[in-house]
Amino acid sequence: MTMVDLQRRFHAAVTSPGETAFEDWDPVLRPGLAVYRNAYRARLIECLRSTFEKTWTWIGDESFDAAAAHHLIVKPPQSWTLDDAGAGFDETLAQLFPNDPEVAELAWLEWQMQQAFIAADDPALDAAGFAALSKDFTEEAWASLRVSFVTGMRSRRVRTDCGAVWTAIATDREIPADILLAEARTLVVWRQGLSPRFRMLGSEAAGLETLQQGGTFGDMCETMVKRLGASGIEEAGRALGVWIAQGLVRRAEASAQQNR
Amino acid sequence: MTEIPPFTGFGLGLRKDHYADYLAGTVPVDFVEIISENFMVDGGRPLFTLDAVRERYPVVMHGVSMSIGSAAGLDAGYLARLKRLADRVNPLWVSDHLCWTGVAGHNTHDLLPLPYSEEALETVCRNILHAQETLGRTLLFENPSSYLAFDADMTEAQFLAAMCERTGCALLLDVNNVYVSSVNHGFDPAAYLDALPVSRVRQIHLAGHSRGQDMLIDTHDAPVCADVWALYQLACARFTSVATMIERDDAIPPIDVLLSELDIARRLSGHGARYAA
Repeated sequence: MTMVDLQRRFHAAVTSPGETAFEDWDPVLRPGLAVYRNAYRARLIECLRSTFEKTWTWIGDESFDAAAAHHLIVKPPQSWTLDDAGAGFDETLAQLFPNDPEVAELAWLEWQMQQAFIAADDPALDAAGFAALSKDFTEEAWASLRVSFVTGMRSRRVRTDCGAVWTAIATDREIPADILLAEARTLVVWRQGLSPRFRMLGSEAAGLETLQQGGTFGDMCETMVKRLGASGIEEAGRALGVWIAQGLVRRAEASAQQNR
Repeated sequence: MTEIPPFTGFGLGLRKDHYADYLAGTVPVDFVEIISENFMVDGGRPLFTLDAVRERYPVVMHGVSMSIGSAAGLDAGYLARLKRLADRVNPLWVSDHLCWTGVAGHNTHDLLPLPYSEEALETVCRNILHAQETLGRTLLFENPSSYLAFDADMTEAQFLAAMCERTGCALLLDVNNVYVSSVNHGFDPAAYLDALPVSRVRQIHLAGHSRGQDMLIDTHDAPVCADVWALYQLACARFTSVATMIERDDAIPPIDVLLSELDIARRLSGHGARYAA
């Protein structure tokens, strides 16, 4: 048997789903194969437990381990880093827990916080930097302002207050009784300095989406005015100020001419 | 090609539980060993911590994902990221394991055993030469613990010696792995040490293991046992230009406990004890 064939056979024996007694292997090799097979499953489940610690706490050992084992079958690890084994685990959980949306949303939050933790070190634009940049802005310059966000920043719509579940577990407090939101909201994850953060957005979520899709601050104001009326412009400015203060904004650039 | 510098001394693995101790710069070790993959990231706290530790201690890089025995060749993306980290860290040396980890883009994240055949030797040597050329440095490879042994043309020690001869690579001798495999497969660990080329062994690993249902398992979750200490003494009598490091990856105790264990290594080695002696 060639090396290629041996490694393919060995890999299948170690990772294949279901039970196996390694009938097509030399009996001398079977106890060792069992060690590698058990270690594969145990190591990956342990890794998922570590990455999704709060999801694990939320659904309990038995449900979590069964979901993790299923994840290894539907999304077997492909990366050189063990940390990537958790990629797509929220999608696996969404299929396994269709009536409990907070499970997948909590897993998404944990995964994105982990990704933000190791994201590239983008220097964020701070309030002083933005003040210097915008001090001579004309109305046209403000309208043409484009904003890009730090690399590790991610957002999604959520149906539950999974952030409250995360916080309750992290601080060992009682989990709120009703975590289902009246309407879907936007959850944002990013890293401020060296620490991952998350925040549930309010009406400014539509404005964020406009900017993420390449829109200008003028477009964002328009979006916000449509939602909030005349106060939309003020709210857009306030939201941008908060994002800058919290280290979400990497760069801001106006294409229209500024006052000289 | 960057050669491995002469370096002896006693070190520990850099683990999260002990970050604060290392950042304070108060841990009396001659070097620290990092798991390369833990720091092959884009940014954030891991690299921030590593940069700070690097200012205080010499660092060696130890990887688990090169898959040097892969019949399909090496992952170019992995090698590029490893090189990026090595360029940043400027480690004393870079090591990995004599093993393979997966096939067809799938990874078991385990150190899987090779058949010690001529075909495997050719595969491993081809991959080592490729990795050394890409990284621009001579690499060390560690003997793995194994839980099965294929029919073979040569012993593991003969395989390692031939591998060094053909590629110029060096060895990281894991004494615990020699012991675990010797019990599991019934070979003489002293004869194993005798078959290794003296000048190529540059680092020694020590660790604890546990007893599984049918065999010993390399778990890194316990102190070094008496039999492994005895084998370490034998190894130190033969290999004198080595750095020694204790691995603990599970049930990690306070740093003082590991430092006490490292003192035992200093004492038993018979080599000049450095730093805290």
